[in-house]
Amino acid sequence: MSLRSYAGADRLRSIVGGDRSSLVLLLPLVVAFTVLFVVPVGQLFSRAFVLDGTITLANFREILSTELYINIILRTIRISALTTVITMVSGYLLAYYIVFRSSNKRLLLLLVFVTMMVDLVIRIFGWVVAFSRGSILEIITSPFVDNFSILFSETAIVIGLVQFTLPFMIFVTVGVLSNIDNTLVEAARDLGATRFQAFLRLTLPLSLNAVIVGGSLVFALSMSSFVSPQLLGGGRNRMIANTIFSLIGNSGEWGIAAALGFTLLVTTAGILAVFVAVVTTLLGSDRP
Amino acid sequence: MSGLIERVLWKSAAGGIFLFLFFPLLLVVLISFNPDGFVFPPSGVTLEWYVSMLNDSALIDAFLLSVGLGICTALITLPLVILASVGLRNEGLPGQQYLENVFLFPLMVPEVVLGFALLIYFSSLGLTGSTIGIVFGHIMFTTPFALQTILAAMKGVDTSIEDAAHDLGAGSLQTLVYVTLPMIKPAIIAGAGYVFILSFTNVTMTLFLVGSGTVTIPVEIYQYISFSIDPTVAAVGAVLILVSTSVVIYMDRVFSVQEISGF
Amino acid sequence: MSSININSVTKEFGDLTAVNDVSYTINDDEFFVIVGPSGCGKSTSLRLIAGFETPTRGSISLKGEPIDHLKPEDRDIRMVFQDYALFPHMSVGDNITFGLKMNNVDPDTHESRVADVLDLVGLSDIEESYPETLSGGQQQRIALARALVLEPNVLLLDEPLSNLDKNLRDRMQVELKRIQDETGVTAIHVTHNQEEALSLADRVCVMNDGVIEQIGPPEEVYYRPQNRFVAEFLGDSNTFSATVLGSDAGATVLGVADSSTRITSDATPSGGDTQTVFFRPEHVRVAERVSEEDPNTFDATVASRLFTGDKIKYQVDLAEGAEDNGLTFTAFSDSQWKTGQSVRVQVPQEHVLLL
Repeated sequence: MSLRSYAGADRLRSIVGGDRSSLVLLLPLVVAFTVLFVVPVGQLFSRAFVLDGTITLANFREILSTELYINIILRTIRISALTTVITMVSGYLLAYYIVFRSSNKRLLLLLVFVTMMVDLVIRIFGWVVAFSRGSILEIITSPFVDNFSILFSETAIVIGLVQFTLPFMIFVTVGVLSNIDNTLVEAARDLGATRFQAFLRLTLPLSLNAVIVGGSLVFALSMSSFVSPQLLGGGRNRMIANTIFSLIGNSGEWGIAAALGFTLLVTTAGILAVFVAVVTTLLGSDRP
Repeated sequence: MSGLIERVLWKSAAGGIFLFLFFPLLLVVLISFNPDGFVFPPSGVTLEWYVSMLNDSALIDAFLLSVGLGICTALITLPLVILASVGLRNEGLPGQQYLENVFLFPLMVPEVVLGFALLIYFSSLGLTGSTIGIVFGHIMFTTPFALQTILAAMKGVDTSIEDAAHDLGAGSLQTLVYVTLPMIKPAIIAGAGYVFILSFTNVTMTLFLVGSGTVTIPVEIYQYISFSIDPTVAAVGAVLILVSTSVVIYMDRVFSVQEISGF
Repeated sequence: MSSININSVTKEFGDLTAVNDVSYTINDDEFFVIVGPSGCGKSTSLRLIAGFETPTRGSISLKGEPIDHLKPEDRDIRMVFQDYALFPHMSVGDNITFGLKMNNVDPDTHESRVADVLDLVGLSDIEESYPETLSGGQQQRIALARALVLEPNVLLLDEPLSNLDKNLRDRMQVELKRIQDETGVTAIHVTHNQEEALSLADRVCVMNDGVIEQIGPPEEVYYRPQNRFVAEFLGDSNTFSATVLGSDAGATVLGVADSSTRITSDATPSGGDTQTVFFRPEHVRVAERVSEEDPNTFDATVASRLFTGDKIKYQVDLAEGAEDNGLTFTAFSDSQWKTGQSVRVQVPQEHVLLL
């Protein structure tokens, strides 16, 4: 029982059972993770960068030189940006309502969660129906709109994407707003601020990281979305994900599809990572 | 601005956004009972689409497959995640926090990319279109979500209660089985429900993994919508809405929804 | 016979030394109370004995056998936690039998043991209840029962009464003493409440900043503190820095507050001319007129008065010596004095101690 054994025993004591067994516990997950995630994604990347056995950027060059692909990329960015703006505003609004103005926060959150858990295909299907001829929307808007042709347009895609991403924005924002101490607002109003001033000077800045993280999440989700553009956009309004899907039919094009996939991954992961890093450094280490 | 007007404006705004979220769901349910299909206004109420759905063996098969897949995925993912959570929580090593985040990586990868990657991978293994392939894909996809829930719950367990168990004579394994796990039972149940739904409703990634004999219900619906316009789909949709809602309500009884979503 | 031996134990957490080379012995069947301010190392000491921490240096032994290498579950030492740590998902009965199961006690005896221990702590018929439905006092007693049912050698109590209101606390103190008496278990009780320490302990151990200031029976540490910290920590006190001026008729004369005020003491100074003068408020006599012949008589004005129910505490400003010498005595008195009133105070020499 040397003195050295005391120090070592102490550190080990913090590990379950005083032995290294906890590392073993991680093994199944690590194995599954490697086999089912790391390797496949790695293979994908290799497809993107390898052509005929040599490492090359040929796939990427082809993407950048084809007008079709460039248009698709630009369209994806455009639609995602519009979706992000709409979702951020309406999501923040509803989140604010739920946290500060409603009487049954838990029920409302449950309702939002329910929409999130219904198959996206069904929700988009609902919009397909809403936009098709003879639907209730056509009847309601007939006094104002001559040609009801929302379906298969970029507008339709945006609406579908808002449907998809709104719950995420709401949850992120609700999480952050809930953590704001309401007594701060009460103190501000006690000192003479109106509700709106308290919001502008207190609540909004404190919830800024929700806005940023939520917004980047929404943007990333929109950029990589498949179902909405596929069902609501039609053949002429493809986004990146749809393009990848359409390319897999022909294995000769897998290289390009992989390159697109890689680009998409790097872009969305990059956006998320950058924004989260910015937020944590600017506003402290609170995970939203 | 008077208080009343303010309140009315708030209620309308919130109500409007909620209406937007639920609009497609309501429409689908409405259509499933509408004899005229997608045309509004409905001329009556009918169950013909439900009958048609029940007679469609492809749909029934897909539904059963999805249920089976969901249960399978939950049964495999949960133990995996629980084990890992125990390991992650007690780790004294400095890299622990990064390790946690590493397992969240699949969340950052777009589903298309995940699906495509698995497609390439499985094709080299001869697993394309197989049920096993879909299970693997779903396990990989749902693990980060389940990990969020379970790990957070485990971290919330009061260590003095576990100390008390040790003090009374329980070894580490005994403490885990008799004290820690029962205390996070709500999280485990909620996590299982969450994994089930994520698997049950997954479309994009699964699209890359299905084969002619193995189709899940979301993919089946997707194909129906893409290739034909048949109100039977609405009936299926209504049923799925019911299933999802029930699972969520059951989960909520056990666990607060906000904590599940990880936010 | 000694039960627990702490031998030169030091516990460091990185840069922080929580327990600094302490050695003491806890006797069998003793109610030993460790008391001190927050951060003094008392909780760490308890956790070292329980086995949740290992000493950085030194060793701990139970009945002569070292136990440092034993995990908490393998020590015959049971603990009552500060927040009770009852298993929320188990009934009271299951909570109590948990330890019995973990230690492979004959299942046939479980029922009677549970009943006996519940009877011991003064609760019965609540085996089916769940912890969340019980009051704080009840939970505390269940936590106690859960530990005692295993008939341990040593019982550790980590500030178990801190969360209770005063009446309940007072009652539980009596209960704790009774239970310890009946079972004969060695009890080590940790608290920051010095009143509690004095009323419960067979011996009190005063800790401060990782070291032991004094160990002894309650009356000894209270009336004969060995240093200023112990004097001031336990109860109200009057402590002043003083210089030895000489002696007079066998008594030491000291100067306080620039030597302008003189106090005489029966005690003999040790270790130099700088001393700390100490006496308890209950030894200060307050009167309108006090005989001039008694030593340590001073003029004073009542500065404040605090009614605490069982006594009245006065702060009196001394008028002796230089103006505004800032000397204030704390005194207990049964009589009613008004603030601003002029009084005479007197401290008997024999009660003035030098630290």
